[in-house]
Amino acid sequence: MSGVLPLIVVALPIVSAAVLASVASWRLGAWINMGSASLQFVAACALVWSAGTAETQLVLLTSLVAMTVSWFGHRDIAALLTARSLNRQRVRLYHVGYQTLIGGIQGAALGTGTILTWLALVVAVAAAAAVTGAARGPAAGVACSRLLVSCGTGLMLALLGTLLLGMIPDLAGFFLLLGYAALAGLVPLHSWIAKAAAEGVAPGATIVTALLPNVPILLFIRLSIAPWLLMAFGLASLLVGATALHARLDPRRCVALAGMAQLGMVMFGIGVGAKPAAWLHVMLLALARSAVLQSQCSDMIAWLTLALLPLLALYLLAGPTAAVSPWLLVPLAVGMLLAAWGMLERCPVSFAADWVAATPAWLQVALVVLLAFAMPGPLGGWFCVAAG
Amino acid sequence: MIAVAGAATLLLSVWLLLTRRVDTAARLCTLQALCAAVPLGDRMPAAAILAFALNGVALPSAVMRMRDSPMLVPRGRVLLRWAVAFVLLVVTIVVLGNVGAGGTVATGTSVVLLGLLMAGLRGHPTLYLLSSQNGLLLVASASPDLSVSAALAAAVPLIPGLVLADAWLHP
Repeated sequence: MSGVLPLIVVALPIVSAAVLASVASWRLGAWINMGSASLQFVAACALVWSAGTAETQLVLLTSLVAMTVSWFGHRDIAALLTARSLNRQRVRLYHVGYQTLIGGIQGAALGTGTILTWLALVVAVAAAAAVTGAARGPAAGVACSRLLVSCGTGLMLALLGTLLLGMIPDLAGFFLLLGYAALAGLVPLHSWIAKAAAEGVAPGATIVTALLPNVPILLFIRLSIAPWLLMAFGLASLLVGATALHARLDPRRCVALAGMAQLGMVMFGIGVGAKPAAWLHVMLLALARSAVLQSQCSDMIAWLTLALLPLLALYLLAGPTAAVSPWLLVPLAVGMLLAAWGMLERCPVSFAADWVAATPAWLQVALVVLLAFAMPGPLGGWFCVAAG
Repeated sequence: MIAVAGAATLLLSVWLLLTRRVDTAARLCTLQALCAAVPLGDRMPAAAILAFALNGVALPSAVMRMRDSPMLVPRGRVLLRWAVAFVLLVVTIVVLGNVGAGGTVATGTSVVLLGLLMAGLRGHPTLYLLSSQNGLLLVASASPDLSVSAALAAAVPLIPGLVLADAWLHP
């Protein structure tokens, strides 16, 4: 994508990261973080206005979630400073990593070539590791190392696939799928995502687990990968994620695994040719995951929204799946019901403790409900054209 | 010449599986980087020199300087590891045997996959990721329409460098 606006959307977070690296005060850093995220949202709105593609839709989603996390997440940072889980240097690292991660995601979404997209994802993974490892303690260090090794392995496989594209397209597609699936936290290189969600700094974990996995899904829509591969890997992720949800886990791990299971459904949806439904589900899932994590996993409405999303996906994907093979409905339905049941079992019976936690969560839940059940006609058409 | 360099890279990759000492493994990576850079040298000498400087000199030296233990600690069963490595090699060579000049794509892909497998199964993932990077360089050298950006992505060890930086920050 060419023009000034895409450049602004990518450059703004990178420049902000450079500025934040030289700011010693964490309070000033938090304000710069908020200001930059808000400006990015304005630029993303302008970009979507000028070009309504799936790429620009992802840019808008990323900047919206990043903005709400930067506004409402600074209270968590203050609490972590008080609890000595963070110090001033680590907060600075967190802010720099936060903006670089956003820049990497936006760059990968808007990248014009496969190598440029790959490079932007390398930057995003490095920044995600910085955000995850910013918290003090060995658990965060282990989560950061696992993220780097798993996603690094994925990126190397993806680069192998990119290099093979011109020579053996089928095998290249397999390596691209295997590699980029690691970044989406999908089977088989999925072990990092639950740990990153549980051990990272809370607002950073929202960005890492709710936004980073969306770029690989966009690539799966754009690249020509064999549909049976997408269906097989999608079903495997769905079943593994849904089964793992029934183990005794803390809420943030649950959210990560629910996301993994539902992104498996999305991959399956792309495989059966239901790209607009799959793309809509990516948007809904990112907003729902962000809502749950921003409410500190304590809001019943946000949790229910995430738990019931698989049923909506089943409704949307049943027709296209039956058209490919009615037998495929069996594992799909089993996986989706297991995922929904696993989440419903852990649903909190309270609302967010205060308005600071409730506002972003409810705003995003309202958006999910609007997009899922009352999407205006032109907006629906726009989604279909963008993802088609 | 290209076929010999490719075969030598693969042999060094298999040797790396047998190695137990970090410094020996680092020296093997240096040799492997030299072998992997040879096929690219004809088409893009600057990228080949850069690749050898980074993959063969800078990163192995850094690994040797900051090693916390002189031994590579294996994880999992040795027999299973060898069986997986053998199957991987056979499948790759059968599937890709005729692609690229002198089977470079098959050897390069084998080196990449062996390295990634070992990065998951043994300690010091940096060294095995570095070996994979050398495999990527071989595959890139066989690509008929190789762009400068793709050559640089294969030559510069970004991922091994990141993992090494993490090992330094989180010992």
